[in-house]
Amino acid sequence: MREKMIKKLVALLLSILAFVAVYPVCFLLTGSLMGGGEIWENLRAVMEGQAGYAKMPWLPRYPTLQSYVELLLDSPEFFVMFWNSVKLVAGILLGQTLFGVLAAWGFAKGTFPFRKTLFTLYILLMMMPFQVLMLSDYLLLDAMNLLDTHRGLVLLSAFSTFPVFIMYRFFDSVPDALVEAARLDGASQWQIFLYVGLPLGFPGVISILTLGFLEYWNLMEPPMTFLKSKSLWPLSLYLPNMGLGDAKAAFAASVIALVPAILVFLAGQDHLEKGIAAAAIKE
Amino acid sequence: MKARKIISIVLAAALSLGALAGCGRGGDDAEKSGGENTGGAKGRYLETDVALPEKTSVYGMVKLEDGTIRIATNDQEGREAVWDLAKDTGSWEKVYDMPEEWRQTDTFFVTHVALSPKGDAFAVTSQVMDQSAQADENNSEATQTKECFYHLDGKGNVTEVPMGVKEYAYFMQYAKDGELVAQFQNTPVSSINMETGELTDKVSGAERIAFFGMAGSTLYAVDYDEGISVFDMQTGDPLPKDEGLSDSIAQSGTQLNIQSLQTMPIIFTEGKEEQEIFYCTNKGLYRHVKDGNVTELLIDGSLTSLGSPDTGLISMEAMDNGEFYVLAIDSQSNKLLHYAYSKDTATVPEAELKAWTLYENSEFVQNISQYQKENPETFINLEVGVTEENGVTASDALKNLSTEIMAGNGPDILMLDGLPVDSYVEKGLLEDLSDVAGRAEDLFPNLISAMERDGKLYGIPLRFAIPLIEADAQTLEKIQDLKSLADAAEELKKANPDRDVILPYYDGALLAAQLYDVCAPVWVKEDGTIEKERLEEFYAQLSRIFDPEKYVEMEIHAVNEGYRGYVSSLGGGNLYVYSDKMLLNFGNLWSDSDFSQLATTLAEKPEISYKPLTGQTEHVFVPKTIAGVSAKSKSKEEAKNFVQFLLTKDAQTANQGGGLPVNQKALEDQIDRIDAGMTIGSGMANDPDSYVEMTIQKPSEEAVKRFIGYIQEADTPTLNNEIIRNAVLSQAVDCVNGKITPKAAVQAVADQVNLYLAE
Amino acid sequence: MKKIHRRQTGFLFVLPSLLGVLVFIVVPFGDVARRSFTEAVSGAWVGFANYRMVFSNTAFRLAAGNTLRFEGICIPLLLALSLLAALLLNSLDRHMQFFKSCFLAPMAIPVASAVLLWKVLFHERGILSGFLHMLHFQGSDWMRTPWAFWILVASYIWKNLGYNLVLWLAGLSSISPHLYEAARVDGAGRWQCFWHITLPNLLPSVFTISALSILNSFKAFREAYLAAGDYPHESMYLLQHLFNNWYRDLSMDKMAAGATLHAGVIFLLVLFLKWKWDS
Repeated sequence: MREKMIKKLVALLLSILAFVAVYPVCFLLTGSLMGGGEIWENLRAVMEGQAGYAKMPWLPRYPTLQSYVELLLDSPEFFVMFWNSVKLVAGILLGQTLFGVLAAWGFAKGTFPFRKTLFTLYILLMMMPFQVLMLSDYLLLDAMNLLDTHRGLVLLSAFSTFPVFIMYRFFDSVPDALVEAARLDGASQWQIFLYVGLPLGFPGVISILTLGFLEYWNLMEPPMTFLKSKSLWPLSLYLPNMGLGDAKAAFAASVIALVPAILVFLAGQDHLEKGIAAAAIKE
Repeated sequence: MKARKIISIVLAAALSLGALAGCGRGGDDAEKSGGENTGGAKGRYLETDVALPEKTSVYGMVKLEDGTIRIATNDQEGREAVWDLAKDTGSWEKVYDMPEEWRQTDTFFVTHVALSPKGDAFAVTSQVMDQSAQADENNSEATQTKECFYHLDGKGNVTEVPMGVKEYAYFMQYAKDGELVAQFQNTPVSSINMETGELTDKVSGAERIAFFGMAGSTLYAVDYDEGISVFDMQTGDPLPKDEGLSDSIAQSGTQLNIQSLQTMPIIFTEGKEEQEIFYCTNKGLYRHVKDGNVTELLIDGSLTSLGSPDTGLISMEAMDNGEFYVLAIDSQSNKLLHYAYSKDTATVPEAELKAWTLYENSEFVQNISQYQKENPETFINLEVGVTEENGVTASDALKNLSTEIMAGNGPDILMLDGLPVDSYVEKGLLEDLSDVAGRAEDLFPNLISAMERDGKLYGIPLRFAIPLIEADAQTLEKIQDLKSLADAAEELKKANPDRDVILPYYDGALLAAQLYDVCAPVWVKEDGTIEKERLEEFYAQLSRIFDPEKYVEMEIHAVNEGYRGYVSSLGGGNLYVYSDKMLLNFGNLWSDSDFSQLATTLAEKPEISYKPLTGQTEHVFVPKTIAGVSAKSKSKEEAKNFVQFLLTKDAQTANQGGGLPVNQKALEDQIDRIDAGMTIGSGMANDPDSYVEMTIQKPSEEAVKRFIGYIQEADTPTLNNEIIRNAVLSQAVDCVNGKITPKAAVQAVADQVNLYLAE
Repeated sequence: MKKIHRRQTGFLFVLPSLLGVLVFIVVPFGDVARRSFTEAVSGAWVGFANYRMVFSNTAFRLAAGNTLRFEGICIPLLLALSLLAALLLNSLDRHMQFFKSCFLAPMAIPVASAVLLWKVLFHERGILSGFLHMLHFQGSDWMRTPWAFWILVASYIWKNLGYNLVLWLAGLSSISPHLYEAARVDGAGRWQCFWHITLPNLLPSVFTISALSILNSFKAFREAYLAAGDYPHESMYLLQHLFNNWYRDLSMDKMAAGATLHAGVIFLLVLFLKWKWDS
């Protein structure tokens, strides 16, 4: 009996927490379904500094898709930026997976000298905030003639060490005996990686893709610094440029930006959990 | 495959390592590559101004069938005439005068003259009807006018054309075959029959046309959505859209929304070849082949005055020898621009100067056009940090600027407004411009020398504003500083309970903005912290001046943060002092038109006087558009020459409301040009009693002398610091409303600003 | 012979990544470290002058203090809260997946959208003030009060709770149920089980979870910057704000010195965590 009560209490507590976590999504959705007048009515206190307080009802009084229609039909630059985002993220993830997975395998199963030291260096570099390297990265791209190109941005991010960190755990958990057995069967290192390591590390790959997507879909400082032409900007820079004054479009744009992230997230969630989980467990 | 990848990466690594090392050596590689560019192609259209018959404005231009350029003008006495440009001498020869009875008066105008390539012409006159006779049913706002239409033959003989329409004519232009095409207020684009006045629709089925242009057998109609429809000139039938044309216009970034009835965002003319047309926009002059994808930029707008923001286009003609004439108008007068191909001039100017400003600055853009015209070998590449289009914040724009400076791609010329000047000076980024100022003529020397730091001049203000106060002479005498200003405001409040002392629409922040400039210079201590006592006094006096009972909240949504932050002008309140609705007016005088209002008030109201505003410090001026030259620039001398040009009278007379010129001659010239007789008015839409107006008078010589005298006294530049300014203004509303004490306001400002000052 | 071959192959897997990392991360960082000893514009060698300047700079001390405070409060708080949530969730029989999805949702929300929410919530006339007004409390412009810091903390926890929760859950699931059974047979209570079995077995996860939490804490700056600009309330003025502003004002020398120091501290922290973890 008491056990059940506790369980109910726990469920209630978790529900409250879950509600807090999900509320912003509802907030954006509701806002995006309102007409300009209704948004203004609700947020005028914030937007105009007028009397009263801002509010956000649970449901729009006069639901309309007007914001979406306007955004999708009347702002061609929105589409351009959307595709820019897709291109950038695809490029970065491709690079990260390729280099990251290989390196992680090497760190996990290789035995070359300074392996541990190098891996610690990787962890350290993973933690470097963008501002630290901003200037030098700019000079580097400038020297390579890659400023104001998507390629430059992709190259910079493709060598992030974060995926190596995640994948390392996966490959580390591949039993050495298995690798040894494969080698005795005459498999080359490359074959062992392809046929033993990669299948076992597959959830890891999915999870770095998912985490990478969430990260780079929201990328802000690097494109702002390295891309001068607005026609190259990703979607993540479109949103902050719209203040509250443009609230109607901002809500709709937020939701549209949110959708791919949620989709990728749902698709990758199971593997993501495994991926995150693998990272957490030692051995 | 893997091996190849690795090799490419190694290569990239080697490349970048070498490049980084190169940077450290001071970028001599960059210089070399810059040098290689210059041996490039030759040949470019150069622009010259064709002098117009003296002191005339131009109705229109046409190329006659024999290739002569003809214009119709209106001189200063209001007489209209038609002139031909003599091919041999290049001077204007009068063809005929229009009838003397068409001479312009206050109630009679010739509104349009269209010239035909065949030599005849068409004119529209407009007579303002006697208003008292028409003033029925309170319909006072619509001034009644009567329009008449006339045909003139090649000798100037006039025949009236019996027109049925009763609407205003918008645009009219002759087609190549002598057919007149016109657009009226509510009538589609139509041709006019000279005998019967009958109209024939030339754009069947088209609606919402903003304006049109013609090239040969084609008529281009631009609608309010900036779309271009194409019509057959003969039949008026719609033709398929010219996608190539629309695309290239869109690609060039041209806006086709129409701004005035006098000028057009795009003008057309036909070429020699069958399918060839030319069009001209602010981006340049283009050659286009109809219905094809061939569009060629012949004249780059950014290298000529076409790109200047004050250039409005009226019409163009292509000559058989490949030259062009473009009739345009700038903020002062009509311009006839002539373009001839010069084989020996480099296609792209050999020298490039990079200029950078944080915010858009129209005068500067105009000056760049002027300079490039005089120096066809130099291209001034202007970059604007914060534009409406890019929407980046000032801080991000400055970061990008920092990056470019560090990478050695920085600008040669910087407009220092809003830039971290202290830091730049400390790092030696700014060049000493004393020699430039020394060479420039007719500047207000006090305004320049006030900008010196340790004997060096890192930035020269091109423009400025001056804080003034306006009140009745007795009150004015008592006001010596901020405290006596507050005393006077309180006294006036008591003595005149039913009148406004200050502008009732100003909330605390706007009021603080009016006084910021004359107080801020004393707020920052030597050690870089906020002088709290002085700031506290500022808030205390501000609260005394503010009158919460009179305050009227403006309902316009335009009163947003940006507006609060930037508006501080004497002009707004002057009308209310003039009409006895208000007793005290103070703020910055920004422009010749502000001055003309002030001078008119003084001339008509002898009891009112004015003087420089003294707050916590005196003799203040507000420097604007401060030009600096980068010490890292590779073409310092050219950059300095450009800055020197910016100080000449020619450049300084550019006037788009960005401040008074620091060149005294230019200022006098602007004042001399004040449009006497113009009536200005202002009032709140919901309160008819609030409407006030004044008719501008020409300022007397004495008034100008007195004004110039005040300018010559100014020696303290205001604190040009947006962060402090915004912090101070942001606390002002709560403070004057009594929500927080001045002490608390100061603390809030200090919290915000000391962080910045400590960095 | 074979052994050597194996070593090289292992290294070859790492090589492409290593080269990229060298070019795009290590070399630029070396460049920053070099700049910390030179003058910003002229590039003249100045020794430790920049470091002295940075240490004596009150803004740096404030920002460093705030950053330490932020990390010091955020990381333990997040670890504790997410562990608690994980334990609660673990005790549920049903709906576990649903809750997990809910908690992970904030990760998908674009930063800019989250900032939009901040603005509407914490404005002087925003939703929070409105709510307090109903309860007859005085609202305020929360981002301009010392509460700003806690808003930042809350936002960080909101965003990362789900992520850490999953990390903890993984740690929990790796503990063999037999251990608990055995303990219960010995008469251990719930609390004792937690203290003597759960915690010790979770310890290995702490390194990774902490490292990832610190990594994610640097991303909180984005929100703070977009919501409150260059000069937020001084309680949430972080090192990244300062670096940002130095960069804006062309004070690259100070920025480079500050950034190098910052990297040094992270380096020590990583070493410390790693040492703890390995031992």
